[in-house]
Amino acid sequence: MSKRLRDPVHGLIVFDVENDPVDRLAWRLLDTPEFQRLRRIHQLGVSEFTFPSAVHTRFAHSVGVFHTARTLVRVIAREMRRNDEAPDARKAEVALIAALLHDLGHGPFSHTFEHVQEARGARKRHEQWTAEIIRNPAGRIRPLLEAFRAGFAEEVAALLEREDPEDIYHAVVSSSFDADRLDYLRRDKLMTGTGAGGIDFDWLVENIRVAPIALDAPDGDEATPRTVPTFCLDRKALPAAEQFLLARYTLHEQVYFHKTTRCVEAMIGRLLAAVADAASGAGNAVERTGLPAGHPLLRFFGKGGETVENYLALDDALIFGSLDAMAKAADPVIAEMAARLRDRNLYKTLDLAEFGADKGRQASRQRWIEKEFADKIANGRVIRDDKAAIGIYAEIGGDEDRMHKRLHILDGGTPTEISRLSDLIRALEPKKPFRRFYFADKADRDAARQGGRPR
Amino acid sequence: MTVEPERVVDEIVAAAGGRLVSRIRLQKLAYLLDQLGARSGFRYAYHHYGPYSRDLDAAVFDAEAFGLVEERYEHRKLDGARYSIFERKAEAGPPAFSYLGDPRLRDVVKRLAAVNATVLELAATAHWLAANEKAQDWRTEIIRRKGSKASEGRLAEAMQLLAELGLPPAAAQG
Repeated sequence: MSKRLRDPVHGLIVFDVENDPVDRLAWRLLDTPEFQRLRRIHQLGVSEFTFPSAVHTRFAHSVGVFHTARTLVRVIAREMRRNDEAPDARKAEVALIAALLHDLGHGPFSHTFEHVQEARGARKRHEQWTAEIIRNPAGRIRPLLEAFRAGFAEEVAALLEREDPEDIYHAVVSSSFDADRLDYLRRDKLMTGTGAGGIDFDWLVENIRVAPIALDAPDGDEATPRTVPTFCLDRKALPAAEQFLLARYTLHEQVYFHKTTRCVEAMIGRLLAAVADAASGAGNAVERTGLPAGHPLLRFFGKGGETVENYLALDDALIFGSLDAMAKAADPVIAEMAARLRDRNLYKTLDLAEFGADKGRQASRQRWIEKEFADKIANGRVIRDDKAAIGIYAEIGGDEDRMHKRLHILDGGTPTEISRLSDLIRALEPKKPFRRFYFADKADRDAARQGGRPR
Repeated sequence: MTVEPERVVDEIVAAAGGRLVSRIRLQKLAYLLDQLGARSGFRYAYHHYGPYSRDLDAAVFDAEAFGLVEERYEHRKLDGARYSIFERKAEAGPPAFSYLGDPRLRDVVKRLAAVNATVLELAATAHWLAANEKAQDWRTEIIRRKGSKASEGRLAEAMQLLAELGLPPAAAQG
């Protein structure tokens, strides 16, 4: 008897647990505490403060990614046969399970938590946590993977850690058409309710081809680059490819970088940083934070607390559920941030785009505000947010996209970056920054808005 | 005193001869300069091309906004892959080096501006792993993360570069 899940994006997702060993393994993995934890982490973090229905979880997304990965593995088999090559069933198994488990290492509020950790000097990113959770000898994931095949846990963890592809199966978890991207673009659009950003999924999948692309980033020296096979698109799908990239761009612009969402992220970041200081510093952490002794946040941020066990105890639900306790903290920053977040009493936003599109004018206004509110920026009553930017080839976080994440079209049989073939995409090449300030006091925001204008 | 962020971009481009190719090269160059004693005030985090600074990314916008540097794009002949070219604008005037006040640092920029971006990435990553992540076995870790990118003599070239600059892990070994 097969197992079935209903999904708003993909419809029925079937696990053939009797006949398909990978489906059987996947179904068992869903029941592990490490995977169940993903039900308590929102896919879009705090976007629900802006888009109230965007409460879908990394659990639902991960199942959707697994389902999409199955489609991509079939595409690889189809294309390898077209190229007179034989598919590799063992590599396909690794890619499928890696797709399912790729988000295990996300912390609460995902990137927000990562930035707090970054600012504290912690070096471990969610990809490394994912690999560690998979390899964890004391965990529930590893025994299931090893029972499937000896050495399987290491194969899955290593695939997810690798930054650059070595073969086509890596494309399932990291490429311009990886399963993650193909799920989240559709799921986030559906769950936020935004009308923008649809993709022509079936047509794109039908036109995926496998061809070798240059892997080395271009740097003007025209040296012969290494190549690796990845997903490209037949030229017939150029309009659908443009739409696909626009969908990603639009979701960044309208959803992920929405000013209210970014403001809430900044506030949660400030709250968590203050809790981390209290937990790791001198004084009574319980009193300072309002959290009970042994609370997972105190354990994790305490000395030597960054263990897999403590990390897995953290999730969005835990932190939201602790806001009321933290609102009674002795530390004024923790108390204020927690109470504000609990009651959605947000900082007030000033987006520098209000001053017009001219970059010079925006930069001048930013400098004026930084000078005028220097003390309040230093003590957190004003928060500066000028690190978000989107370009058609910039990854979240701003770094340049890797070559295998760029979209290639087969132009006369040669994989060619889409910006060479599409005027539409070329127009979106320059990175666009989002510069905002968030003010604890509305009067300060209004003063900055007025004072920052040309006199 | 920390220099204005746009000055960092402007001075690096100026020291490179008024023109610098690739955002990746700019990022790795700034990182290595900071390890050599330049004080950009930027914070770095590990990204897929190695140490990366969002502060520097924002500084590029400022350098453009204040009319110091212009970013334009060219495409690799082979596959049309786009890359950035930063050029100083004529109206920026002659550079008054403060962040790169030390002429040795300006020589480093000149030297690194001509180094392959992947070699720079490997050099900056090796340094990051050894100095920041305190990786016990940075060589195994860099091969695990970078795969074949670290082969074909590139890692050796990166180590040679770090040795030349006197930076770990190459300098520590030597």
